[in-house]
Order: sequence, then C-alpha cells, then structure tokens
Amino acid sequence: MKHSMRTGLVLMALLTSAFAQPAGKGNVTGTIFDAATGRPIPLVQIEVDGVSDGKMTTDTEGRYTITLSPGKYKLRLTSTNHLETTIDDIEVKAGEITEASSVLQQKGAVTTLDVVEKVGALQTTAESVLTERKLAATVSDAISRDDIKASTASDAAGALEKVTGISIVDGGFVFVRGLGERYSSTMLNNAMVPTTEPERRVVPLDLFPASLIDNIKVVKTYSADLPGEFSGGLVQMQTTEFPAQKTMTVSVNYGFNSQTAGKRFSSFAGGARDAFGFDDGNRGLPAGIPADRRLFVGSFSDQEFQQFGRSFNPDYEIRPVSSARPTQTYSISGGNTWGKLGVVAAVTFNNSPQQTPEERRFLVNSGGGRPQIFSDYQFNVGNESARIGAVLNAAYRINNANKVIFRNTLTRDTDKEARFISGLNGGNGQDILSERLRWTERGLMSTGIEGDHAVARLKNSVFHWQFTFSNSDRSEPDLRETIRGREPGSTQPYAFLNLPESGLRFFSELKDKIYEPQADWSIPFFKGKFSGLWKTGFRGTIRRRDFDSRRFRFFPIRAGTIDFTQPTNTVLGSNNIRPDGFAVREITRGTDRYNALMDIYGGYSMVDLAIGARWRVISGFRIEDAQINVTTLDPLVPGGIPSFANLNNRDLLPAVNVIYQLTAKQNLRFGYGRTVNRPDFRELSPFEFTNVVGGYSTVGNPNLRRAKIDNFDVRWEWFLGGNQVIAASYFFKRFQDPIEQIYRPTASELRQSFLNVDSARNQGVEVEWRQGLGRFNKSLRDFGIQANLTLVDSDVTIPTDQFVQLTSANRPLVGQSRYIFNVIAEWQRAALRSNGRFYVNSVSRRITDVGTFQLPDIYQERNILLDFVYEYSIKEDGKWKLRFSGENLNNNIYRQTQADFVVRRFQIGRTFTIGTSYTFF
Amino acid sequence: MRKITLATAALGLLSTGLVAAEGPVFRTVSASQAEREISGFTSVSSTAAMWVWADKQVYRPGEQLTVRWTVKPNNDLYPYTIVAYRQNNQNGAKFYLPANNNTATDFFGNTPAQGFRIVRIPEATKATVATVTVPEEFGMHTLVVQLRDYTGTRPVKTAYFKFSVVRGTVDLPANITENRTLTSDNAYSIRGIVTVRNNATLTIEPGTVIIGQPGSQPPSVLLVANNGKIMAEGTRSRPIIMTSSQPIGRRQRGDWGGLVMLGQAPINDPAGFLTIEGLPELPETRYGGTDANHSCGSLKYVRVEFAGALLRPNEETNSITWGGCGKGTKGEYLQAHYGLDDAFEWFGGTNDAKYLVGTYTADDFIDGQVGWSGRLQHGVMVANDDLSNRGIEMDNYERNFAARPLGKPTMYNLTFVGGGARGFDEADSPCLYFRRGAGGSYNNMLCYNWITRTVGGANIADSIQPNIASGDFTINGVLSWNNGFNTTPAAPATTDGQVVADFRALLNGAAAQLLIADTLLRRPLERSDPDFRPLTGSPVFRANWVQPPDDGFFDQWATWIGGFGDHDWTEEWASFAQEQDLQP
Repeated sequence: MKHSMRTGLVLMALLTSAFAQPAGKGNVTGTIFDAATGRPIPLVQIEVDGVSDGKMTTDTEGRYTITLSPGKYKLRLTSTNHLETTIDDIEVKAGEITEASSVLQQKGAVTTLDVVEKVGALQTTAESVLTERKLAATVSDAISRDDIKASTASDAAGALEKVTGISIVDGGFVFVRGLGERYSSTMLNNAMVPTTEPERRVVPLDLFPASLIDNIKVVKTYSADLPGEFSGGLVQMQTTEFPAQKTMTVSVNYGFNSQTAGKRFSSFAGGARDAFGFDDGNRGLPAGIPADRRLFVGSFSDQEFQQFGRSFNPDYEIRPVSSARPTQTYSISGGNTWGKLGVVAAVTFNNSPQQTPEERRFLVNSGGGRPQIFSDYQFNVGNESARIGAVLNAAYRINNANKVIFRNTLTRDTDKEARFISGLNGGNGQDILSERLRWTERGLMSTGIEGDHAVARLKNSVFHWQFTFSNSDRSEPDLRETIRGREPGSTQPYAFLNLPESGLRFFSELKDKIYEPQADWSIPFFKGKFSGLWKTGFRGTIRRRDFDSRRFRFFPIRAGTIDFTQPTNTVLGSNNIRPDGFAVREITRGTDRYNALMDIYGGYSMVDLAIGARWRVISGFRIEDAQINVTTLDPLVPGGIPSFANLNNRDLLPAVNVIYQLTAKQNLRFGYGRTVNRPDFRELSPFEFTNVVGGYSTVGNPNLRRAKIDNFDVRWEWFLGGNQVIAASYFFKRFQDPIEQIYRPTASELRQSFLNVDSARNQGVEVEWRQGLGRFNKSLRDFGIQANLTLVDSDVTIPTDQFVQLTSANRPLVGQSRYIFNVIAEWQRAALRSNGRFYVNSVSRRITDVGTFQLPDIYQERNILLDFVYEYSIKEDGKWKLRFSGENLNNNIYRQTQADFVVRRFQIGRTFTIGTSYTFF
Repeated sequence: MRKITLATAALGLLSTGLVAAEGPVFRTVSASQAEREISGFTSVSSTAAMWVWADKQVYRPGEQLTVRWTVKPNNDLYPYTIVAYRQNNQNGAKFYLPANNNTATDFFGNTPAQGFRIVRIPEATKATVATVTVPEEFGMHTLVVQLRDYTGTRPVKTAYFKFSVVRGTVDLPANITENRTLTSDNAYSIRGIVTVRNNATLTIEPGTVIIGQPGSQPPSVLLVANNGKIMAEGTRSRPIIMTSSQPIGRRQRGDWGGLVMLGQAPINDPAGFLTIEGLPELPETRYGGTDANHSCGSLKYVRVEFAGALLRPNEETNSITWGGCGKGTKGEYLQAHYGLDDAFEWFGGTNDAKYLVGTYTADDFIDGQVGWSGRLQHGVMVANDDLSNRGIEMDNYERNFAARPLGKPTMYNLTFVGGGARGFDEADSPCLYFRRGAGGSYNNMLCYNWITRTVGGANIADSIQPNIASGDFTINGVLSWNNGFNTTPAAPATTDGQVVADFRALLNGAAAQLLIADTLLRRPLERSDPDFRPLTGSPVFRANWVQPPDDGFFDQWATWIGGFGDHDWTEEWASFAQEQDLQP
C-alpha cells in the first residue's frame, strides 16, 4: 500500500495541499485515517464551523490544509462510508501551523472498543512515524528525521545503527536481523537504488548524507506490493520533505578526531580540487594510451612502450601532511510554496580526514591444527573523504484529487586514501613496506516523477504512478601500489620488489542504471462487517550495468640494470623506464569488462480487509518474472572466452499479514511471506574478479539458482501515546538453496566463490521500549528512554563432501551477531532551552571470515560505542542553535580474533564536534 | 704475421652471401706452427665462449636468414680451423657456410684440398657469418659453428642454433578432444588456453616449434587436463621448442603462459583436488586424485622459453608445471628458459624427472608443494645478472604445514649457479630453501655464486623439525662456494655463515653433509655459453657425494656432486644465450 511504503506523510501533505499563507493567518493541517485499516481516507469533506468558505476535501493521501485567521475552531469531517466526526478546540495562531489529524469509524462497523476519537495533533515527526507504524500492514521499524538530527550520525548508515535489529558492516552495509546485505534491498523515494560497488549487491548507505534524509524505514515483513527480493529487510529512505511554509536553515559543524585533527596525516599529491572530491584530471589515463588497443607485448615497439611508460604520473609515494584539518560540514536547506507549487532543496558538503593505525595478522596452520602467525602487518591509513549531497524536490497540486511530485537526489562521495603497510609477509618471507595511493569517486543520481489521482467516480479509488531513473557510478582512477622488502631482521636497505601488486596502476569505471516504472490502483470497498481495500499494480525494475577496467604494471625487464634500493619514485622514475629497465605492460584481463542486465517485472493483487473492529487481514500474491544476463568479455583482449550467464525465473510470492487489535493501543501481528534471493551479476560469471582492494579473488558460479525463503513473524506492539511504544517480536526464516560464500583455495591463494548450500535457518527475538520516564517518577519527567535488543540465532549447513577445506560445516551466518542492543537516554528541559542524548550501541561478536584448513572462523569481537549530543537554543524561538557532540567516547577497540590470536586491531579515536545552525524563517 | 680482416675477405665473398662491413680480426697461423703448439696434447678443450643465432625461430622457404655469432677467446691462444654449416636434421645433410652448399669448406670457403685456414680465435661480437636463402626443406635445421683443431678434422668446440622451416603457422583450437599429431613441417600457434582433454593425446613430433601468443587473457597456455595426455618426445638434434612469438633479441619472460600438465595422482589438500595456480577455475584446471601411477604423458628434449604469463595480480604461471601427475609421467632433457615464475613447479603428485635445465628464470628453479614426492636427478640452474632467486623452494603445503601425504621428493646431482643481482620478489633467496613442513631427501647439491647463503628456510623448528626427527627430511653432500656475497654483511664461508640457524644441527654432523670449497667448474659464469663440468682437481669427484639408491631410477654412475661429471648433457639441444646477447 502506498501509505505503508512511506513515512513522514504528514509533512508532505503540508506542502502538497498548501496554499500560500496570507499575512496574519495560520494553517491547520492533518491526515484523516480509517479507524479499522489505518489507511488515509481521500476526499473526506471538511467543514469549519463558523467559516462559510472553509469547506474542502482531503487529498489522495488523506491530507488537508486550511488557512484560517487566528482563533479557535471546530472541524466537522464527513465521508460517504464513515461516521461523521468532529475535532474540537483547534487553535490557530498567526504564522504558525496547527496539526489536527483524526480517524473515522466506518458506518456499519460494530464497535465494542474505545475508538480513538482524535488521532490528535501530531506534534512530532517521531510520533507520526510511530502512528504510521501502528497502522502499517507490515512489520517495520523506522528512524525519523528528528531522531536522525538528534544523533551523531553523519550518514544514513550511522542513523540506521540505532534501529532495532540493525547492524552496520564495513561502514555502509546493512545487516538486518543477522542477515547480510545479500538479504536486504534499498529504496530511495520508493524506487530501487543501483549500487556503486562492483563487488556488492546493494548500495552502501554511507553514501547518503544524514542531512538529506527525512526518515528511514526498515520493512521486515513482506507484503505483495513490495519487490519480492528481500528477507532481512527492505530499507526505505525518504529525502527531505516539503515544508508547510517558507523555510531556510544553514548549519556549520567542525569536528576534531583525537587521532587525526592537528596530527600528522598520510596523504599524497593530487589536484587543487581534491578537498572537494573532484579530480582535476591528473589521475586520468594518460592521453597517449590508446583506448582501442591494449598494451600487449608485440603490439607496440619498445620505443612506444617507453613513451607509454613515461606518460604515467610518476608519483608513488605517500606525502604526509604535518597537521590534519578538522572535519567540516556545511549544509543549507530551504523550501517554499507558491500557490499550488511546493519546492524544497538542500545541499550539504563535508570533508573529513581520518587517520587509522591498524594491526593485522594472517595465520596459517603450522600442523596439527596449531595456528601460527604467517604475516604480521602494521597498517597506517589516512583517508580524506569529501561528500557532497543535494536534493531538489517539487510538488504540484493540481487539485485535491490530483498531484504530481518531482524528486531529484544527488550524492557524491570521494575517498582519497594513502595506505602504508609494514611488517612480515609470510608469502615471500620478508619484511615489506607497501604504499598504496587510491582515489575513489562514487556518485548516485536519482530522478523521479510520480503522481496521485483520486477518482471519486470510481468508488474513491486512488491511482498512483511513478517513474524513476537512477544512475550510480564509481570511478577509481589510477590506483598505485608499490612494495619494497628486505630480509626479516636485517639492516639492509629496503628494495623495490617485483611482486604482482608492486608497480600496479589500476583504472576502473562502473555504471549501474535502473529504470523503474510502477503503478498502483487501490479501490476501497465497504460491505457491512467487512471493509477494505483491493489493490493491484505492477513494477518494472530494469537494470543495466557496465563495468570496465584496465590494469597496467611496471615490471623490470633486466633487474641487473636497476638499483632497487633507491626511493620508489627514483626506481620507477622515467630514467628507469626504458626497454631494458622497467617496461609498462597492460595486464587487463578478458574478464575485466562486463555488462549485465536484470529485468524484473512484477505484478500483484492484494486485499486489505478489516473484519469487524479487531481483525485486519492483508493478503495477496505477487508474480515476478526475472531475467538476468551477464556478458563478460573485453573484446580487445585476445584469447578471452566470452561468458554468458543467463537466469530466467517466474516466482509466485504469497504474503499474509494478520493484525489483531488487542486493545485500542495494542496490536498483535502475524506475518508470512515467501520471498526470493537472486544471484547478483558477478556471482553468476564463471570468470574471476579480483578485488584489488584486498584479499580474496572471487570467482562466480554460473550454475547458481535463486534461493527461496519462507518468513514467519509474530509481533506484539503497545503504543503508549505520544512517541512511546513497547514492542516484542519473534521471527523465523527458512532458506531453501541459500547462496553462501565458500572458499576454494588454489595452492597459493584463496578464491571466494558461491554455492547454493543445502539450507539455513535464522530465528530471533526483538524487543523495543521507548517511553518517557515521567510516569515512573515526577522528577524524571525531563527524561526519556529508548532501548532495543535483538537476539538472533542462525545456522547454515554446508555440504562437507565438496568443500572440506572449510573448518566448520555448520556455523552461524557470516556477520550475524548473537545480540545487538541500543540504549538512548534523552533529556529535555524547555526552561534551559536544552536537550541532550546519550547513546549506547553494542553489537556482539560475529563471524567476519569463514575459517579454512582447520583454522577457526574469524570473529569480530563485541563493540560498544558511546555517543553524546547536547543542543542549546541561543534564542527563545529555537531558530539559532548550538550543538556539541562526542562520538566514540570510549574509543572502542575494534578487534578481530581467530583462535587465540588477535588478527586485526584498530581504534578510530574520539570525535568531538561543535556546530551551529540558524533557521531564517 | 699476416692480418686479414673479414671485411677484406668479404669483398670476394659478397656474391656468396657473406656480408660484413666490419668484423672480427683473424690471425692466421701456419700449419707447422700450429702442430708445434699443440703437440703433446691428446685431448684439447677450449676456454673460449661462442654462440650463434639467427633472427627468427621459424622461417618459410625463400626467406633470407642471417647467421650471426659472438666469439670470446677467453685467453685461448691455440690455433684452430673454423667450420660453419647448416644441417638438415631430418636427413643429416650439411650445407657449408658461407657458400650454403654441400661442398665441405671452412669458414673462409677453403676446401680440404685447398687446405683449411688456421687462425687464432678471433674476438667477434654479434658479427654476421652469412646470409642464406632458406631452402624448401621442412623441419628442424641447425646452424653450427665449430672450432676444429689445426687438422680441420677434430671438433674442439661447437655452437648450435636450432630453427625450423615450415609451410606455415597453424592455430591450435581451444580444445583438443581427439588424438592429434603436430608435425615439424608446421609451426603451431597458441592463443589463450589450449586444452588437451576428453582422453585425447596430443603427440608432438621432434623438431616441432610451438609459438605462444602474447597479450592473451587468460594467457596462452598449453594445458593438458587431467583427462588428457601429451607425448612430446624430441631428440637431441630435434628438440621440441615452445617459445615466444617475438623476434629473437626482443623476447621477454612472460611473453606467453607455458606448459601445464594436470593429473590424477594424490595431493595433500584435504579436498583431494585443487585448481591450478594462475588459470580460471574450470573442470579442466583441476588436479589431484587417487591414482599414484597416473600418466600426464611424456616430455623429452623440450624447451619452454619466455613463458610464465602474468595472470592475476597474485599469480604467474611457471614455464613447466606438473599438478598431480603420477609415476607414469615421463620427463627428461627439459629446459625452462627465461621464465617469469619458476622454471619447474610441482603441485603434488609423484612424477619423476631427469636432466633439467633452468636458465634465467625470474623465480625458483625447482619448486614443489601440495605434497609432491617425485625423484630428480641431473639438473642445472643458472641465474644471470638480471636477477637471482632460489634454487630449490620446497613446501609441504602452504595452508597446512602438517598436511599428509607429506611432500617428500628425492633429489640427486643438481648444480645451482647464482647471479650477481638480488631476486626481485624475495630478498631471502638462498640456494636451497625449505619451509612450511617440507620433507624430502636432498643430495649431491652444488651451490655456487649464490647471492644469499647456501641453505635457508622458514618455519623450520615448528614444521620441519618433526620431519628431521622422523628421517623424512635429510640433506647430504652439499658443496658450497662463494655464496652469500650479496648480503649485508657478506655471509662467511662457514657452516654458521652458510646455513640458517635451525638447520645447522642437521648439517653440522657428518663431514658428508656440507663442504665449503672452491667448486672449480670450467666456465660457470660465462652466461651465454657456460660450461658447468668440473676442471681437473675439482672437489666434485672426491668430496662428500653420497650414492643414490639403486631403485631403477637413479643412475648409479653419477658419483659426484652437482649435475655434471665429464659429460655435458646440455650440448646441442639446450640454449643458454642471454637475450641481450642476441640483439642484432
């Protein structure tokens, strides 16, 4: 259902139905819901007592806005199929917005329950999010704009960390209920988002700056109107919504990381626009390198090779900056309405350096299952990230029954990373020094247009349509790496090593596009005891990906002619690039270019049925046709064998959600849904993808099938009024043919691959509590608490006959923590114009890598993060605010362990941020 | 003494094809003088170095072929006669240069009746001997330049260059699924992976040239899958040459992928099979099984040159790789020349080999892992000044040092001659290097001129000590000289200086185990034309050699340390010329 797929509807209504507000008047706005189904009711007649011209109707989403002179009013609400209801005592003040939402009882419904006469003025967006959640057809958890703003989160990933059952892995990937990114999907403004990561299925959420996000919802049970490919959760992000009146806010933040700001910082020479995340062209492929030919032996003369070699940027060395800048964030957002048109725009820019020293070890089985250290490294990584985000949304309300919205989102995230590694390399038995210079630009652009039309003649049915185009791209130009080494423990000078990663230049470009048309048609019906909504629709997700990369390496032809102990820039300097010195060779593989398509067409039909006052049954089915094709071949690389992977499936996906209203404030929910999990593009390619970034190379499996998942959910919810809630859930998931990562070693390296394993199951319990403490003790009335706890238990069975290198044939899912908990203590005192929040987030140990060769699995040990935020309004009206926050107050030690060894250990330091924001209107 | 330059001689010889603007100086000696000088010598050997080459490996009939040579007298002042000819190795017919006909002449065109000219050995660097038109005689030919004694009848020193005359170049298909024979009247081109599979046997005639194409990804590799077989049996005069497509003088390591043979003999990965290093994972690229007697085929007189493609950022292929090949697999007289990775690598299996030559390879000479337990006898590795790496690098299994069956090869009679430059991917590159639970028996090893010490290793106390205790790891009969000169400080010529600490107890015992003495080889460091045979008085015959077991494989007559007694088994079929010495 439309309304269940979005949040923050109330605010949107403010704009979509807003008229320009004449001077000296105020606005009343609200949403009218059906008491049984929780659906907004379009075309409700609204009469304002004592105002003859106040007669109007709600729009397609049950919203209305009326402009009135200051005073007290009474609203009378009438609708064809509902009992008449009145909202009393609505106070209108000049220049302000009064919110007044309500529910209507259906005619003929026999009611023995206390009916909520008034949904009441929804004071905060957090409440509206809860209200929506209460009335939603599916189990979901969400975080509102207020909660995002109040937290230390700088991006969507950080914000989601506070949501029940969510953990964030590798900075931006969401694990829901212990299930990895494979089992989650991401939508932005109700459209699927393509990924920027060639090796990942979903888009990393750290790409989305928090200031652009209005709210994020994680849908945890399936209903037929959702795309069928998720099991853990469907993350739905909504960008900044429309203001009810003219607004503009500017904010500035400076952050100081205890191990970065003012300290020596690893960086490297680049261009003048690096700080903003734009390469000035110096990292591009040199102009002389032909685009239509590969630099293979025999294709060019020695002189040409020398020319090519000398045209590359000859800088391989890390250049430390003596004192790192503080983190800077600048944001501006604003909006207005002009008659029927509402516009909102936001721009944000952030530059944050982060220095991270790290210890890393790799173990080997020295015999009899006794692990010993194989490689022992010290990392020191300086990463400067520059992020730009922008949103431009516009809505045009033709009339109450018809409106059109146009949404645009642009995000961009650039990482400039200088990585230094020193220590013992077990592979070649020597002490190495590695320098890697890396520049990664990731961007996402999404533009969409949608419309809602309420058709009174067709039984007040609502027609929704939307077309979205999204484009993700990732560019990694000129990754440079060099490695030097010497005999362990010796005092010899370090010398350049001719390892395959040493002297490497790597260029890659990924483009992933999604075209997504969709339409839904819903018709309400009322028949005595039964009332409901019949809904049908379709969604086409048409995805195209192009990946292209080129690899080059400088390698010594006659090593005797070169002094390898010189500094790297001299060893690889242009004097040494000559036919008998270093020669550049292209090592691009046939598999370094691929294009892929995934076309999914889904149609559904569902009924949302209220039976009496207590029961509500939402059931339906969806049919999805999916076609996936992956073609892997660089036509310019001779000898390449083209690979064509092809997968065609039609799936029938039923879903049933039953809601039983225990009391007016308590729900009991049951859910069942069948969902699928399809192999991703690169998982289907029989060829090999090496993740240069580090570690395993990955080889696909063309025989993969899609997995089927049966999901069962039970949830009890108690809405205590305001934004208070207590909820508990139990979930159980059964996987048929789940796709798991497995490892297939060759003699000298581990290769990651994928396999449909026998089965897996995942179950768990979630508890959430969100309450003001005033009810327990008056002195605590300024305090509130939000807490959630998730316990998960999962089990995967791997067929041991095929993959006996794996240490455990039976283990939890990779990335699944046994428990996750969040505690947020809130304090607010209007008299002091202050509020503060204290956050505790803890994720218990989880497997990060599966162990092989009798080495145990690698675990990320438990993390505890403590954050603190304090906000103070300088002016009484709350327009000018000061904000102080501390992140990672305990400077958590991140540790990964394998057997009794710590194999990875790092800290990211404490970050203190001071900022101010000013709202002009 | 009369001086005649080749240039002046050439004036009269231009019509016969001998062209040289300037060339070596030949100093003529009279027959009586020559007889006086060498009277009393019953056998003559020369200290001179000499090599000969042409521009390409294969020719079509009618093409012009330029014969070039380099000669370094190395203080050999004896008088010689010089004879140069092309020999058709199919029928043995000789065509004397410079005239290129079957009338026997010396280098200057004199017939025996006219009397061969007697000269001192000239200094010649990349000089042109002759330019001839390639005849329509398909198959392998040899260009020969001989120094003969003053009588003109007894060869003292010979340089050889092998080339083939072909009808054309045949592209091999990606899959060879039925028995096929490659004949020496064609060259064969490999682009990408050419897989012999489906129980097919690929037979390669003596003298056949196979050309690996560069730039291909996956690389150009001749892959004998675990259900295929290769029968490549050349002869001393007609070796099988697998080489680069590039012109001679411009060939480099890694121009193409190499030769990979996979079988069904046991390996010690717990899965029982693995995918071969460096190639995509396909059913054909698996190796390992339960048949210890499996045969991957037979290789005899095979040269694999300029192989070892760059594969993934982590891997290259070796010149010759055996993965899980069993006892039925034959291999002798094999040369890996200018490989980008190891010369010879074994991944598990049980196969044996004899007479191995590894020249100027970028990585190790002999590399074994994943539980290889074969036997080796007679071998030589030579590094040049480009780089140097390990002579033997033996693991049990990288991922599980204690994996079983234990990798336990038995080796006798190997010569390792190092180079002056350090290895460019491993700083610690001793002549003999053992790690990761290695087992085996290493005997009669000669290590000379190694930049790092003689015996090294890693994980010894943990993973090799148990094998020493159980008798599964032994080293006996090691002769070491001039090793460890490129470390800081240089390694002293003592057991402590030459052996990594954890192995000292093993090598300090009986005198047979490690001898540090000058090896006294003939010409071990003359890279393009070395001679690894011992000089009179060399300790290789009298020192600490141990008798190989009499198991039918090991030659019992090899009663010395290193790969050579008095016989040079590398003559004619192997090529030692450094590529920069062949540039025009």
